[in-house]
Amino acid sequence: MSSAAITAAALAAAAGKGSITDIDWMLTLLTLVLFAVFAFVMTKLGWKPLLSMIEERERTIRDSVEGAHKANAEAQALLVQHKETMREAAQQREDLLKQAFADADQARAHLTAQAKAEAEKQLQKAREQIQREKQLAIQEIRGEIADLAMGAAARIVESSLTPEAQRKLVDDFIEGLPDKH
Amino acid sequence: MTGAGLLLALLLAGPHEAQPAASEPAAAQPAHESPEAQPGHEAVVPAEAHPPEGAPAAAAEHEEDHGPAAILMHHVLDQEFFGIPSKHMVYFGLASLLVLLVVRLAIQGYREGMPTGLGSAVEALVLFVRDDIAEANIGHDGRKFVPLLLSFFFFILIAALLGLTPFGATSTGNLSVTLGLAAISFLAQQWAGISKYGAVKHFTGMVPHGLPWPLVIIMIPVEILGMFSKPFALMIRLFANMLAGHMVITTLLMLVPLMAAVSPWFGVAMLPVSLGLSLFIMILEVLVAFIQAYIFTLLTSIFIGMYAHPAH
Repeated sequence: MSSAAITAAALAAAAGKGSITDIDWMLTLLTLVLFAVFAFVMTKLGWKPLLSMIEERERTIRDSVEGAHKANAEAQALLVQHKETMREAAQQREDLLKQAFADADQARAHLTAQAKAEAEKQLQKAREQIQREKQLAIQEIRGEIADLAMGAAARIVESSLTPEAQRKLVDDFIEGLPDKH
Repeated sequence: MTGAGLLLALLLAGPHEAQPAASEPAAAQPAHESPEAQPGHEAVVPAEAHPPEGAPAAAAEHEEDHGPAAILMHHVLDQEFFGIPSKHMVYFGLASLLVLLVVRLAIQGYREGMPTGLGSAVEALVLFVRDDIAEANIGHDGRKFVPLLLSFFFFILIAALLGLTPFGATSTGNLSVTLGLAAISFLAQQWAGISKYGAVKHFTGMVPHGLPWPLVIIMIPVEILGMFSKPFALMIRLFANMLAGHMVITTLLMLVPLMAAVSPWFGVAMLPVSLGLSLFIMILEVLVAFIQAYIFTLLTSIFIGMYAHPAH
């Protein structure tokens, strides 16, 4: 009932002075102009500054991300380089150690050989010296003995002693020999 | 606006309550009562009323002024506003200024290029319009249309939300206004094609190539029709959506005096139902404000995209 009344009245009103579908051309024109002005003003005072701020931030973020990627790549490269350097250093150290050991071995062998040779030489020298001294002593002793024997013989002959006396003489002689030292 | 609706409803209920000197609170508003109160009663319930022989003409005339339909029309039609001939234009300007204010406040809320408070909300919508509406539908050329699309979006949104404020009006609920907006959308669509391909190629390019000539003869009027029907649809859609909610809310609130005309107690019983339903529609209207701003902007950008890339 009520809705019928409303519909009827709405139709009556629509047919009358004001209807919702009436176009007020003045209003349309005003809308066109005002909205154009609004859009223009908003573009200048609102959207452009806002969008430029947003874009600026987006650019900063993009740059930061790119920078981070780049830094990461650089760090990776550095790490690889660093690892390579470390490996090389280790290798070098090993080589050096090897070389040092080898050198030391060589030096030791050399020194030992040298020392041995020196000792041998000294020993040889000493032996030769001893030999020489021995020969000399023997010769000396021989001369001495010959002289003594000669003296003794002379005395034996002089005294013509009995064999016992001779014996005793020889013994005395020998007894009378000076000690070796 | 619910407050205004309630006041309206109670005022309407007033005359009928006064008659039986009922205990309803609305009866305490005799100021509204006028010599026309009696015909008013008949006007509200014409099917029940049996006016004297001489009365129909007066009743019909009064119906036009104070009947439910007149009130409904009064609510949605443009009217004078403090001496300014068009309330819709006032609210049009108000919405524009509000958008400008909101966006300027948003810009001032930026700290070192980062949005704070209102800026975050505005920026989210701006990015949505730029990326998901303009660039998604127009492509890279869409950048230059972003300010216009943003203006459409924010203006339609704020204008619709303003209509939900007490004593407010929705300027986009006026066909003349939506015609103006659609005309700007139409100009932008045509400009997209003309600026890119030149006027001749833009208009000849609308008809797909390689069609046999009898089809071309058919296609020309079809394309011309299509060219105008796009903004026409925009105009009607926005207008109807903005209008519908207001009409529904007003109608729901008017159920109170209509029921009160039958019996005061019916009117009281109707109050919670009527207010609850109109509150629900009011909340729905907030959603509709966003949806219509989105739809108008989206369709405008789709149409711009169609003219900027007619290769289909």
